[in-house]
Amino acid sequence: MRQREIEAEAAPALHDLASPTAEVMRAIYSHLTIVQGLPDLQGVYRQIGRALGKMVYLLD
Amino acid sequence: MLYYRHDVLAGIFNPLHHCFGRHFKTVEEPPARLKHQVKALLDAALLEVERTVGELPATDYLQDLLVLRLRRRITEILNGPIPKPDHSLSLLKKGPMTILSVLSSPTFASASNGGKSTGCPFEPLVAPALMLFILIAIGRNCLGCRRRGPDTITVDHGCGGRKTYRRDHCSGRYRDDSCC
Repeated sequence: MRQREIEAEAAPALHDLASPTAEVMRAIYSHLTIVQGLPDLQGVYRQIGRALGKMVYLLD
Repeated sequence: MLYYRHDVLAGIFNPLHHCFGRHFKTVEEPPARLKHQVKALLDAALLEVERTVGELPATDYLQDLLVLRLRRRITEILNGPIPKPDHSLSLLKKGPMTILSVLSSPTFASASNGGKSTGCPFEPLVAPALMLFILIAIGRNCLGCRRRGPDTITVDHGCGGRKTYRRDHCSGRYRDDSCC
């Protein structure tokens, strides 16, 4: 839904277009630390997930 | 591409933009510029990943997965795929002459006979005959494609019934494309 809203804008920036995917990956990587039992690394994993999500969108 | 457009009217007639928008088309970003922007953002994101991964313990599997493999993948996508060595399938795609030259070579003939000559008097004729057969097949196919004639013909079957037949470009025959 959020992705569609951004894409419907007149001239969206690439950074904004990639943000929904980045947020999804951030949430997934955040949950990964719970699965792995590494709550100390949650912040780092979140950052990695967000950057990866952005990259996935841009590469696609 | 579709969504990332530079709207030339937006900056000039901003209040009236939506009134004129349907009459004046927007201009798409040049692909080279868009690619440059994507590459810049990708580099920034990769740098962020590398910096953050540095904070992980050295034994973490993400170290290898994210830094090494991602960098290789991005390079492949931006600079094109890495060329692969020739294999049998690519040999087939190069055309029939390559295959024919392989088939007619003495190495192939002796290999197909287990390396021994059978003593058959027609053995030297096998490769030329095969070549001739393939050339005839190719020639017939090409001639079929060049046949002239209208693309469609309409035939009156009487009692007001008419049917339109469409020409097959390769066989030159007319076929009924109607469903019933």
